[in-house]
Amino acid sequence: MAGLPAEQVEELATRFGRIVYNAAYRVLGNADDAEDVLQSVFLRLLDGRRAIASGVSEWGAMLRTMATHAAIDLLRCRPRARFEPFDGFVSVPAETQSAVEVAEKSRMAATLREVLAELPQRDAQVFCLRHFEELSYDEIAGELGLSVSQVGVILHRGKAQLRGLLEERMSAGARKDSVR
Amino acid sequence: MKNDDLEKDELLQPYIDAARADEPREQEWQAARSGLHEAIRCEAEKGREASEQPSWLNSVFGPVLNLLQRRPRLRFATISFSAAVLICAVALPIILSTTSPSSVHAQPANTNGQLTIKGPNGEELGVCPLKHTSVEANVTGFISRTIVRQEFENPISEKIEAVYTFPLPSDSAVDSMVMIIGDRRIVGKVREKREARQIYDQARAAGKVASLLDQERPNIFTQSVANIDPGAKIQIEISYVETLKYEDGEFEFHFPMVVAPRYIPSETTSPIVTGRSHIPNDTAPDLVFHPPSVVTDGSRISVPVVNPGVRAGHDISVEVFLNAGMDIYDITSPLHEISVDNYERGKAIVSLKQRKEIPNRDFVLRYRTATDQIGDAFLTSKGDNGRFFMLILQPPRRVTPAAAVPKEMFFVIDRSGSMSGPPIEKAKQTMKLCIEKLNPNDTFNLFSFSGGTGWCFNEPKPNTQQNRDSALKYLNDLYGSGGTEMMPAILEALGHPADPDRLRVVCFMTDGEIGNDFDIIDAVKKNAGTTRVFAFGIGNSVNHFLLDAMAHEGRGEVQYVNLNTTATVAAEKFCERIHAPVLTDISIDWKGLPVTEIMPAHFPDLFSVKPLVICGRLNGVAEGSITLKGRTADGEFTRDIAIHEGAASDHPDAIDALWARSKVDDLMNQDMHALQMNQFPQQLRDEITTVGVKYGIMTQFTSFVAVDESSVTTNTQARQVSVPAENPDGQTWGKESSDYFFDYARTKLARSEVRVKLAQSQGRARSDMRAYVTGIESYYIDNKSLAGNTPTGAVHSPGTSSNGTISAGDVWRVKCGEDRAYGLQAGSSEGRVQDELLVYKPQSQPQQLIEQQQQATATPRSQLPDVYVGDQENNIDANKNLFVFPNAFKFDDYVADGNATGSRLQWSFDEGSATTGPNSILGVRQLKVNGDHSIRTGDKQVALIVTPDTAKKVSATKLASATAALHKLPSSLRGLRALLDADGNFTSGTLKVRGYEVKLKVWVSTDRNMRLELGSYSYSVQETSEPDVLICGVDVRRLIDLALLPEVLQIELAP
Repeated sequence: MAGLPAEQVEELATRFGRIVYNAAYRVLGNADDAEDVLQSVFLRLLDGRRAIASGVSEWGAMLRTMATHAAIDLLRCRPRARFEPFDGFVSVPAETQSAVEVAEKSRMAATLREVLAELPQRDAQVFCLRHFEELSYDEIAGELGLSVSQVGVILHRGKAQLRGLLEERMSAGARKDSVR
Repeated sequence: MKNDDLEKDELLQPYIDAARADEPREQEWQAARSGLHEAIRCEAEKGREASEQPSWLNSVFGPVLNLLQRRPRLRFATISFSAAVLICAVALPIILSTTSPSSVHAQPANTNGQLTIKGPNGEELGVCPLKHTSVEANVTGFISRTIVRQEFENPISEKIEAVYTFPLPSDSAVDSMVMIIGDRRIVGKVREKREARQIYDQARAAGKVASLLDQERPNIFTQSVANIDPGAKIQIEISYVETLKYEDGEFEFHFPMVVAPRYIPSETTSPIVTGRSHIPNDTAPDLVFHPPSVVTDGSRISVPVVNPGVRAGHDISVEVFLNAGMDIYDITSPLHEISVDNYERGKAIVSLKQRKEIPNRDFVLRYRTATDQIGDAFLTSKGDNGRFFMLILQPPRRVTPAAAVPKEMFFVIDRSGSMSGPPIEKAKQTMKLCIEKLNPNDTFNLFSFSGGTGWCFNEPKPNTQQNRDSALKYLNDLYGSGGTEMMPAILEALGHPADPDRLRVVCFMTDGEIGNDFDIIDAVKKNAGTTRVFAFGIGNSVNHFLLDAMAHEGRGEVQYVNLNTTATVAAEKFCERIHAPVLTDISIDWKGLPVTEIMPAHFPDLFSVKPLVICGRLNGVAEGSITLKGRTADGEFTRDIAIHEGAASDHPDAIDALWARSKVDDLMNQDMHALQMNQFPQQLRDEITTVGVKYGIMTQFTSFVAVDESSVTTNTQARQVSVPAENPDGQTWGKESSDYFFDYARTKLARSEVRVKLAQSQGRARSDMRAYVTGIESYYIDNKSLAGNTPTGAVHSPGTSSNGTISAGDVWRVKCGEDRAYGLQAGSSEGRVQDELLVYKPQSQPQQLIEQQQQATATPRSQLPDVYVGDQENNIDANKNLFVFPNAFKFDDYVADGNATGSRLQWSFDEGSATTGPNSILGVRQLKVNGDHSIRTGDKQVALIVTPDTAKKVSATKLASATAALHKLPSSLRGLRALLDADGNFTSGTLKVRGYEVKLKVWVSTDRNMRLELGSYSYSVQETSEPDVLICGVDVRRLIDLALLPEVLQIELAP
């Protein structure tokens, strides 16, 4: 099966590029990685060796699914104790958040990504699609070829695991603090 | 279903909010957007160009173009991405060790299934330098000449040295290598191996294009091509001759395509295997994992193998020209699709239907000719080295004796990781058929090996129904996992006290994928005595050299069973062969014919109707007759054969090369052990070198070297790039490694401390070895902490589990409570399982330890409690953990918790348990079922509910009928056979566990709807899209393995 014509991919990129980029960014928290995912998602549409289902009605959901999948793959490949690049510019309105709050939020986002990488790929993807992209159960089920009840099961399990991992990190942090 | 999960989660929600709020800056997006559009345009342009190219060009070079033209992407990719990719690449299981500072490997890129070369910093440089291999064979009668052309091309922007390790038939005489650059042909010269290396190294250093062909094993070769300029193409043409296999009227041409990963054994087998005791010493570690030392060239025969789902990037085409001189028919190829062009009577061209086949399995071509009775043949040749002859003698027809000699049959099955999945199932199938065909007065025993060894019975048992049943049960229980420590298996099987009243036949079933082939052959030679050694080569890319030689030295016969052919024929042939050899004690009376230096020096016994091929020197005119003598089941056999010099070989240059090759084999065989240890006697080495140089053939000590003296490349150092191998077809290890990951036994241990040391990381003992322990009281590492998990001296609460990566030189001390196990394993969840070793040694109680070790050594895996039920006395206590079913199907996918609407399965997680947590390498989780009974399960494990219903013992008849029902199912569904009804439908089953009843109902339908019923609860999954989570997955087999363990479970079909 041939890939999509370049014109159509261009058009999709114009319409959904930002959505795909943001979806990847939320998972990866890093512009460079997000950009790579962005390109891989759209180039894949051109690739004649990959089957693109005809008559896709929900391009947004499908592209976000592809983006989270590729992003989680990349996330899981990253070294665990990765330094989040500090680029010195944090675009947060100063009147709403203090610097401490911003730093804390940044740390929390990084921690969530770290633990997300420990989940099985599909569990992580379902979690991201639901909580980052706010896709409905039906949409997720449709995109991933799961039943709605399976989505529920996976989501519940994933969250339980994430809670466990976060708690463990918190207690490890507390232990470290007490040693000091 | 109601989407009720968006309700605020106190702990998780702030994290989710934080991540959601983390948006990219506008300028970042703008940069990404322009890069994206540029990339799309570039890709589309490439697509247009590709469609204008011939399709073959596109498919061969498509990946190259694809990568090279994705410039924007590469340009915008940053260091952080490269670093991430590098980490991915590190997951490649086997990496050739090289000393070159600029060496790189073609390794899988991140996610796109494409193989790329990476620089030391992880940057992508290009794709695999080997583009294509074409194989062209010319077969005339019994002799074939094959030309293998390897096309190398440098895809990157700097100079490279390509290194490719590849297989050739083990009995071929490689007598030519030519390097082709443009229109120049540089003919390679045979030189002593070290000298050839020196010439090559000098040429490489001088910037000249050079190639070197080394023999690592008679069937493994390494081609090195130095100084390939960017974009340059170099072709290497290797030529060899061989004699075709011919048996029962059928010719066979065989070409191996892939060097399957070899297991490199350790010098000493692990202590648990041998039961060797250690000297208690305060400072010495209890266990030292020895690096491979027997195999001195492990790295040279360990080919980097691509990860599953990734192609190595090179392909292969095969063309065979058959010239039989008479009608050819029944042309078949069991492992490939072929096209046949019978263009002329007695001639045919056979080629692979796929012109760009993946080189991941052997090419086997079989055909018959118009007559089943090939006559004797006498061929001669004359060259610079004198005159040679080849004599092809047909054996007499098989005579079946009236009474069979009573035999003591040992069946030895390889259950190592490389055999997991289809190969071991094929081996079991074959072995079962062989067992069923035993004669009434034979005795037999079964023996299996991987990292350790185990017998089925304590001593050979008479061939009774009961014993056969026990043997089949033992076989059922086997699965492929762990290392391939073949040496202890050889010694054990051949060293067993002989039965004076019976002829012993030891039959090995293995793929032979080991690095110490020479040593094994030597051990067979030295230990076989009167025992006959037979071998079954199981799989699609078997080590023919090892198995041929084992059978030869053990005066037996080898049979190859690939995964696409039925085991029945192989088993029948085997039984026919051991029942009565065709011809033994063969000798030839040359009657004054002027022949010398006859090869082989000793004629093998013939167990099947295949010709005896003899080569020798001819020192005069060969006219007269000779007499073939031997012994058949009828008694003495003699036949006079007239010899005339009329027939000259159609391959005039082949006979002296084949003779020289036989001569070299004879010299090598004189001390295979020394050969393995790299201590081969100098005198023999010199003799082999002389033969190799004089007759221009490859040997273990001669290599081909070619240097292009006409030009010099730019004076920069070349990067070394290793060509990776494809994943061998049919081997499942690595693909589902996580499923085969945990091969452990739980052992009751005394309170003790154990120290584990990884002596060094080399060969297959890799840096990602993981040590694990369950039931830790405390642990610490002498040198450093466990993989960032817990710092030195940390104390875990009793009952917890932990794991971590240990490196060479680390000593890991663990203090354990009772009833715990600990072990060491290598491999990662993405990589392949390399080895698994069990460790247990309570230092404080050496005597008890030794007993435990002996017990463990004597106890086959089948009798170890895979399922640990209840406490030490195996009593079930409602408050204790009940089950762990490792490696079963992904039960978690079907487990819903009580809060999920729509599920009828009521589970609640007992999160408070000490077994919860990421430190548990076993992934064991404790669940509370229905508020009453605890069950432990993991990511890929099945839990069954045990309810203390009334115990009912199962009669032997019922058990037998359940077992019989099992055999009706394909092996992939074996796990559920017990749950079949008479029509083959899945139905409900009842498992008995120590008198407690386990109800299980399962339906599996082809439309992938399934329903699982546990106890009084049921759960259904509809239209599951992933077959691997279905209950019919191969993993489920454990369910029944477990269910058939009489000591643990009894099974009963529901009424």
